[in-house]
Parts: sequence; structure tokens; C-alpha cells
Amino acid sequence: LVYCFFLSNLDHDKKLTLQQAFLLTALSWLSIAIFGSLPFIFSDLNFSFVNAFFESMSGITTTGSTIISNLDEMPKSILLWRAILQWLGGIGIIIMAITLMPIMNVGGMQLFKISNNDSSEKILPKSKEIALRLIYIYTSLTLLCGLTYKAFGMSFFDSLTHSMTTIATGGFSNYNESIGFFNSVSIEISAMIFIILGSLPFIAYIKFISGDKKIIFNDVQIKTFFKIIIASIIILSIYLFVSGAADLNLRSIFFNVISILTGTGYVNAEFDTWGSFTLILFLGLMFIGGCAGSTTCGIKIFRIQILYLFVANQLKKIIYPKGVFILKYDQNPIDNKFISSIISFIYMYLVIFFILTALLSLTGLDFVTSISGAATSISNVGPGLGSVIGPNGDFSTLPDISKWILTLGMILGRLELFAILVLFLPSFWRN
Amino acid sequence: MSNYKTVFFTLGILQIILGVFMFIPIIFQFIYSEIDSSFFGASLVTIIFGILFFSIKFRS
Repeated sequence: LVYCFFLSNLDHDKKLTLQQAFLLTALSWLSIAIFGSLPFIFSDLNFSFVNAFFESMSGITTTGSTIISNLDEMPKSILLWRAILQWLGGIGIIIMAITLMPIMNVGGMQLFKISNNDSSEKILPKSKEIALRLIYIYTSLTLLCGLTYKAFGMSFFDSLTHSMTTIATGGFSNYNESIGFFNSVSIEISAMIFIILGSLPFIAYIKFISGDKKIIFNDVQIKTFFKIIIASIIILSIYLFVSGAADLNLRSIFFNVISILTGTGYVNAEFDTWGSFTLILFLGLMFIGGCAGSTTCGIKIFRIQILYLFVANQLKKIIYPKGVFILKYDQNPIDNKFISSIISFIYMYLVIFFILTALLSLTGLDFVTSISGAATSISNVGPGLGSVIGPNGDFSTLPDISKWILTLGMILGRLELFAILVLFLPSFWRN
Repeated sequence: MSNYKTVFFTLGILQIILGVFMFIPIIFQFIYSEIDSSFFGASLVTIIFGILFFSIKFRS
């Protein structure tokens, strides 16, 4: 809705410079996080500013980390507000990823330009039409998810809030046990289906509605997304079966793999007791994330794919030094500037991850909490690993400075790093 | 400053809409008898700031 108004405004003067687009993107998220924290501050729950801001930022960036340790006792209005923040954050990031990010040339997102004509520093009115369609699809999926939850036994309020946080792949729940509170296979299967639907590129839905019925099966990103899910489930099942680290529970494996990969953060089991390999696997999944143009965060499938193709190409060049190899993604040749953009994104992602980890450890957190806290914030997942911020923990006991560092990680990850980092360049502010 | 008028204008709209969204929990406060001034106050502050930002575009 917000972006629709914004794009409507563009119809009048059709002028939004690249500088303004970056500034607007960063300030939008920051201002929503600040003003979104006001209900927490004004409530009778004694939220400090840092706690309120953390909760608000976690909501709007669809992270799902919480500083509330007694969710079951929270007023319904506060629980609903958390869900609304995530829902707004979800639709905001989809529209931004499809309409703004490609023009801003952030981290290879230019590959997803809607048309070849929008290469200028101006955003075309076509964006408005696409934004409206995205809102219809997003709202329809949310309603469908809510009805499904209600049909499988959730109360009206729970189905309303959980449907909003499911489609947004945010993961805020009304209960400390998260979705595990309901202990219902039907609800968990529904959640998995709608989490996956929220993790697919929303532009694919528009193409599907427009007549391209095979898009779901032909899109290279979607195919790889499903392959990663299946491979992770098989690997984890074999590990748990062979090692005996935990009971082999396929229901929990399916649910938690999908939840962590997509950055949703719902949990239905204490996966931090499944052995050290599980923690490493989940840490890796946190980084991968879902498809570009969806509500998920992380490095994104398409960047992993292009990096893989690039490495494979480099290996071929070693074997055949005189050979000419053209890098193709989805049958289209990829320009070197896209590759350099993607490689620099992944490089910065890892550098910032290590900086966040180091800063968190300096605040007195243990190694597992620091490394998983940094990963969960920059990848907008929600729960971390370990006893403090793990699936059954929360972020309330962390020092205030750690919470500030984590909120920084959340906004950096949500806005694809460069949308924030570019603001710190002096040259950005020059005409 | 004139370069950023569109940015502030859009931020203003964004905040007004955020303020309007804060009315939804107020309805639930009535339903579940949790009435306090938190959402009303937050909504008022957000909308006032939104109008201030929004009006920057129309100032000379």
C-alpha cells in the first residue's frame, strides 16, 4: 500500500533519482521501525526503547527474533501489532525487490528488471501496476492461509496473526513454543505450504496468472530452491539416523529445515539438541535463504547459483586456458558486471557477518550465541542457536549493546547491504 | 533540501498509513477489553509526524 502511494506519486513527476531511491529505501525501513516501536513504548509493559526498537525492527524486517519471554501473557493488541509489522515488512520487501532494487543495481538484482526499458535512473509507471498486482496476490495468499489455519483448529485471532507472519516468512508467534504450541500435523503442513509459497518469487505468480502456467516448474530459482530443501532433509535424516543424536522425527525435520532455510523462524522442536552437524547445516541454510523477489532474506538462491556457475567456469578455464566459456543463467548470458556485483555482495555479506560476530562476542556473548546471533540477524531468520537465543530462548537477556548490533544486522540484511552501506560514502551525498 | 522533498513526501505518506494501521489493534483492544492509550497515542504521534513530512513538499 505504502509503495503504491509512493509509485502513484511518481506518476506526476516521474522523477526519482538513484540517490533519492537509496535514501527513501533506507529511511522507510528506519522510520517504520522507530514509529512502529511506539505502541510497545506507550504500553503498560515497561518496554525500554532498545527493546521496543528491537521488537519493531525484528517485525518490519520479518526477522522474528523477540525480546518478549512471556508471549502467552501478552495483550492481544501487542501480538497483533507484531504480526502487522511483519506483514507490512513482507509486502514492502517484495515490492521493493521487484520495482526498486533492480534499478538500484544492488547485489545483482538488476537481473530481475521488469523490462529492458527501465535502465534509466527513473522508475517507470509500470511499477505501479505490478505493485498493485503483488498486493492482491499477497493479500489473497494471507487470507487463504488464515482460512486454512482456522479450518485446522486455530482460533480466529491465532489464525489471523499466524497467517500474516507465515506469508511474510517472519515467524512471530503468539506462544513461546511457536507453532509447536498447537501440536497439530495439519497446521504444520499448512504452515510449510504457505511458507514455501511466500518464499517463491512473487513475479512468478504474476506470470502464472498472465498465462505462463509452467513458470513454477521452469524457473531455475524455484527448481533449485526445492532441490536444496529435499537435499537438506535427506542429509539431516541420514545424519540423525546414523549418529543417533536425536530421534528421527521426519515431521520435525521437514518443518525446521523449511522454516530455517526460508528465514521464517517458526520451530516445532528443540533442534539445537540434534547434534553439532545439525547446527552447522542450519547455519548454512540461514545464509542461503529463499528466492529473490520473495519475502525471504539471506544471500538468495540466484546468487548461490551464479556463484556456482562462475566457479565452475573458472575451473573449466584452468583445464582449457584458450577456451571461451559464456556464463549463462536461465539460458541468458550474464554480463561481467552482474557477476562482479554478486561476488562483491557475497563478499560483503561474509565480511559483515564476521564483523557482527566479533562485535557480539566483544559484548560478552559466548561463541555459539555470537555466531548464530550474527547469522540470524543478517539473514533475518529469527531464532539463533544455543541455550540463550536458541529455538526455545529469546533475546531479552542480551545486553542492550548486543541488541543494537543485532538490529543493525537486521536492517543491513533486509535491505541487501548496499542500500545502507552506500549512504556512508561521501560521494553519495555529492551531486 | 528540494532534492529530498519527494523522499520526505513519501515518508510522510508511509507514516500516515502506519498510523492508520495502528487503529486495527485498537479494535482488538475493545474486543478483548485491553483498553489503554498506547495504540491511540502512538497512532496520533505517527500521523502528526507523517503530516509534517508530507507537507514539506507543498512548502515554498
